[in-house]
Amino acid sequence: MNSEPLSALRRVAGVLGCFVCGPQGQLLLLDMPGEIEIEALERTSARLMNLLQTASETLPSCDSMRLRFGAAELVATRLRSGLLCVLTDAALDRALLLVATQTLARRLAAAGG
Amino acid sequence: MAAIDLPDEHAFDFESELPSAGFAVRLPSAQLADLIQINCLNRVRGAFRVCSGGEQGHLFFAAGQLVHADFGAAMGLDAVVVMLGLRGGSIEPCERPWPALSSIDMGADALLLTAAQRLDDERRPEAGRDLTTKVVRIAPQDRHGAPSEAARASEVPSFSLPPSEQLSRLAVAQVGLDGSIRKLKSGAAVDLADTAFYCQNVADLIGDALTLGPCQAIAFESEDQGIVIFRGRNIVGVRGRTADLEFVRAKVGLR
Repeated sequence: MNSEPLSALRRVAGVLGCFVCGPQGQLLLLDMPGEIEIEALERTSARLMNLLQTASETLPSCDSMRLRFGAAELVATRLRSGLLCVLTDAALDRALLLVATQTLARRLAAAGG
Repeated sequence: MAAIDLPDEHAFDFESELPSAGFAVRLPSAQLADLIQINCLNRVRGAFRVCSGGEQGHLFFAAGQLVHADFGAAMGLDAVVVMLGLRGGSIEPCERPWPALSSIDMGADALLLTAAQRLDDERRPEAGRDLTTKVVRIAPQDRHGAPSEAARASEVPSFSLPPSEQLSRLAVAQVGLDGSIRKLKSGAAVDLADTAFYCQNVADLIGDALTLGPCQAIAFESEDQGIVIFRGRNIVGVRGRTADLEFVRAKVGLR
């Protein structure tokens, strides 16, 4: 699976990996640590989309979410059509991640994603 | 005043983890605020006597909270404010009948911040109330005794409201681990409770799939509103303005 568009995120301190999924949760781009299985990521993508949809019913125009698991955090941002998900650790440079995410979102939108 | 809401299983859990009675300690430089924080952190259950200048009061701790305080004629938060303002005295464990009612209904951090704010206001009555919050805390010092960089930075006045006021503007839903709604506060609706319960459980499944373990906290954000969900004894959903939620996000490790 293509990972090149996500390479800029990998250069952000504290980013362990990232992926992009479509509106039905299907994996589109992937740059995650090898030990995480594709099947697990596909289930995760579908569940993240489900979470965001559920939250949107209570919080209209909800466009991002963060899930904390100990020192790790999963940050998901809504794209024009899908979701960008970034797995991070405690060393995350949050400001840089925000900039890199916005840049990537624009780039994906321009490419029709 | 609210009735004490202390599930028996928590008292039992705590007592079962305490094989011995422990030590009674008198420390010349002990601070009352430290004692409150330590006892809450360690989920101590017991009563303490506070004596100063011929007057005395009591603190009752249970299930990680200070549940009741009295000092002279003052009760609850008023008593805590009086006691935090004392310049010296003694603090010691005591045997005392457990109060029938709880006079304090907030966690240690919120309690100490609120009490410190009150104490600060009372000491500067001419200043009046404004929206500037001064957080009173022990300033860490460097090796030369000067306040550290972090301490100097914390002296810069913050323009955020005190957590107690922020909390009053937040809708809060508490849901049992079985999905039953326990409390809806400050205009929280059933959909917030349902969202919290569902999202917490789905997030746990995500943690399992990625071998990250259970999810400790979730934050959903829109342009100026948000929802924070976390699991304590119950699953809690908090909804409000992004700025008001900052305190909650920090408490659950989502900075």
